[in-house]
Amino acid sequence: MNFFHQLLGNRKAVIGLWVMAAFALTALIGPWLVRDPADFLADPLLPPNSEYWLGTTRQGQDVFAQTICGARMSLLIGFFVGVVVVFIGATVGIAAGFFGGWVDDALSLLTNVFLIIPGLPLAVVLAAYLEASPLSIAFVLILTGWAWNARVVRAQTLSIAKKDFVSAALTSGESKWRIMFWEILPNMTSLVVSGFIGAVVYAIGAQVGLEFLGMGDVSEVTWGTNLFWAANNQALLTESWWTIVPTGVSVALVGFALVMINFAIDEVTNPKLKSEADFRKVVLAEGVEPGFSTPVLKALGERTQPTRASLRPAPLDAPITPVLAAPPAVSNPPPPTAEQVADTPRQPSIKPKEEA
Amino acid sequence: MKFLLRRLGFYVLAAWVSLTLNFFIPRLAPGDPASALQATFQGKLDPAALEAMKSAFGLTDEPLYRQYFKYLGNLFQGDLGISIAHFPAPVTEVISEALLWTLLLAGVSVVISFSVGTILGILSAWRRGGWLDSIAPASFIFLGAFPYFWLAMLLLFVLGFLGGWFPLRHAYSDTLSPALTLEFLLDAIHHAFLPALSIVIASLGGWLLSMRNTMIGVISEDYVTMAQAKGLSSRRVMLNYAARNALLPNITGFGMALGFVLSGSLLTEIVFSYPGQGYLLFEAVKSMDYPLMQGLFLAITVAVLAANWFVDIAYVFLDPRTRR
Amino acid sequence: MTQEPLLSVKNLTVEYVTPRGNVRAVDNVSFEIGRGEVFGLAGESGSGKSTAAMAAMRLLQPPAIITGGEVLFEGQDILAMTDEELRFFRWKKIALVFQSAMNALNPVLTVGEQIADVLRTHEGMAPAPALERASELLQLVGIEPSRLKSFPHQLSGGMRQRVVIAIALALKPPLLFMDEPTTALDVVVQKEILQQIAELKDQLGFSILFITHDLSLMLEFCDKVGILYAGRLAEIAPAKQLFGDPQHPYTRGLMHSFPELHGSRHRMEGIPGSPPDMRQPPKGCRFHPRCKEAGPECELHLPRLVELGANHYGACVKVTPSQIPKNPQQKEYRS
Repeated sequence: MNFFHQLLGNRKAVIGLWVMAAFALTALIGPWLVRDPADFLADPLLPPNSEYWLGTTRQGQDVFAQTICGARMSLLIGFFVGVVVVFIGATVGIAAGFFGGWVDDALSLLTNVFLIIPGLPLAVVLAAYLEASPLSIAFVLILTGWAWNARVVRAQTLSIAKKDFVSAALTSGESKWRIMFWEILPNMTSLVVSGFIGAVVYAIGAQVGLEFLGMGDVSEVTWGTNLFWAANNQALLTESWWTIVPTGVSVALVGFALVMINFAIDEVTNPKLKSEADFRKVVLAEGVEPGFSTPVLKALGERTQPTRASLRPAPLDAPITPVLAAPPAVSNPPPPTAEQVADTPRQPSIKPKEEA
Repeated sequence: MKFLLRRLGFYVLAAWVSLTLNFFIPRLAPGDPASALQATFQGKLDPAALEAMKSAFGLTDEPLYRQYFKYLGNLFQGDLGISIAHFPAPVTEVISEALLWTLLLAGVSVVISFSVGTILGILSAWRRGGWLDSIAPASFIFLGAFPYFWLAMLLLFVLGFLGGWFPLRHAYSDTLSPALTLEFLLDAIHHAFLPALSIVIASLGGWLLSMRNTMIGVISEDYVTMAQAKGLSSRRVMLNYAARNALLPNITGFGMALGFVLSGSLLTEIVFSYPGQGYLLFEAVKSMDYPLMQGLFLAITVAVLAANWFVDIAYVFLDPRTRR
Repeated sequence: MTQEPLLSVKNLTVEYVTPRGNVRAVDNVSFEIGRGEVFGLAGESGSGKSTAAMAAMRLLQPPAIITGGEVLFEGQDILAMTDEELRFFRWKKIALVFQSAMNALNPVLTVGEQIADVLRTHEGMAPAPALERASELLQLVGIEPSRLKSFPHQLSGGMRQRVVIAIALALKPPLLFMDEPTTALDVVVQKEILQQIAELKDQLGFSILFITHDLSLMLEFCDKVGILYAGRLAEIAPAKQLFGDPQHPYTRGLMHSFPELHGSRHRMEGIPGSPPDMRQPPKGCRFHPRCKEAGPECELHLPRLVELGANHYGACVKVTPSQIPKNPQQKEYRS
């Protein structure tokens, strides 16, 4: 679990995780602490005030309560879709990469077709024929969202399947399914986690979009339906910005926090990014701006060369005499492969170049 | 050329899958689709329209395969049925009127956001840790986390409604009619500005980030080091050596992300009541216009596939290895 | 006749920044290359031979830093140059032949463009004359001028390597760095290309820094050879001297680990063990854990490079100058 440890040491990951934890907690217990979001309990379109912190909707509902309660269903669907998408993506991707041959051809083709078919119109058509419910939305999002993960996992599987431990497991007669999920899958923890996060970001965004279109169950309180009602009630014409801003900012914060975690995963698993950051730190600490050429940090070298101190200082008074001054003695011990030597001209041609 | 033909074959296959999905989805819905339609539209719809709709979908008592071939036959004659919301206009007609606006709005915005995002990605990868690299990726990723249509609402509210600098809806002023005059063009650009801006802002971060990442990978390639060893100008190394190569995987990614960005732009159209496919989709959902929804799905899919093929052609120009 | 060396590397030290502190990949390496000379740098992979060469041109990528030394080209310190100065210096004075031509050539530009852009940048040539010159260069390395319009993937491995050499020669530089220029090729092509390099060298008179792990190639090709082990020079001597009479136990081990092309096929001994982990190099002599002749004194100090004979230097406490034909004024080569 080294990967998760490293992740917890990354600043971006920690920020992202805290934000997510805050939202998760809100979604979990928030709804019990606020007013009923569906109740028509105040004057319509009150701007934010001490009683209704984020104002009220055109129906006189509490925007604050709606934002808090919307988090529950939106996050729930987002995470549920993320889990299923990763499961399907990993299964299809690993199977394609591991079995190869016609299995790979067929699965890759299917994956690519689903990648290229535009998601929203397909989702709309699907959702239109299904009963409007959060579950239908989830189903639609899974169907339109699984392909990306499958593609990424397949590529990774192809490179892992070549490794020795997989051939070893194959030779020792382990079942293929066991190898897929016990040997290959654990070797792409970071990929699967980042795929999961990407899928959650997609699911939340697409869900909000579909519900904004009116495809969801509009009586349910979610972030998407909040925006649907705000738009339906001409939020902009009535200048009631408070009915759209809290929900939008919540969606963006969740998305941003998740993307932050994904950046962190990238930094942790890509040693190149990490070492480049360290490099910049070291170079900048010496007061040098990293440019396009290898930096020369002699001061750093002087400070950190313990070996040099233990050596007697020796003057540089013995340059190696260039061959020109002392041409290679042909009378030296006979070269072992005289033939070869004859192939190539030994005598350096002395033609000092005219420099421009 | 083999490459382009192979891709074309793939798009034809993808189109066929979409057509087939389109055929089966209504039939997978709970209950018998024909009677479901009947129940839904009974009383709301002219019986003639209902019959027309059923026949367009091939919803007859014939066996499934016969229905399927009938459906395909209708499609190839351009018959997608009759729109309910725009009754009695055929779906094909409704869609084709709106197609141009979507292609213009989404096409121009996507090209702008891809170009600007790619250039910013090149620059921030080239000057790692420089001022641009510390500002641009993070801020555009943050903006990209907002739903497209939400940014659109915000822009509309601030710049259109409060500022009054931009029109609030439609593709051109009601006082004008479409014509190739300067006045009309300027008016159309004025109307398209905010929706385009919101699409650009929302999608730019993705292009930026993926270009930056591929650039970082390409910069450590030998040929970039060799270009540097050759003493070429930094600009030339960056553009002709690093960026030219980093662009290739991104072009492929561009094709695949098109559908995603287009989906976002459809929602943006709704916010601005922009008379494109997105707005039609919204109308179709509101009035449960199934034929229109399905027609839109097919039309948008075909548009995305076609756009992908153009992207492939561009790819062939950029990567000599695909030219055989 | 004393002549200033063309390139003089003094105490070059290169480190890689890592989370657990810096790792020294090249440690106080010094050598000189005279005009028209071929200097070989040999060692196992990871010994720092390529790193040293790339550092001398300031071409190492992050996280590499140069923490000490001087690299004087005709008396001018490359390590003191700015990015801009380097840009005009590179290729004009030192050109580079990369190990793998497939990776060194830009896949999306034609061969012609890749030769011409050097000429256009450094000599300000117009596109047409630059291409004209490029076709001459291709002919120089034995490629038909019609290949100007080819892309790298359309050429064979040997042809690509020739193209890389043609690019390197574009500005007639006085010094060429060749990093395993033939390793990726099959033996026959390898032979042809080396032959060609030798001919071109005679014709144009450039010097070469030749990097390889192949000792038989070294002997064939180089005037002088430096053996690197774990970032430090173990031995440095004229090629024939080194091969005829290797002094450092590591060099001797290396000699045995390569089959001779000609001559009796004696048993390949190899050197037991593997190169040290550079994050924690062994105390004292870097080689002593693998050295058959190591004694307790080897763990105490890093051995200095001392003159063992005429132009022959070694860094091993076990090898004293007395063991080889004496040299009246024994000098210390700074390390």
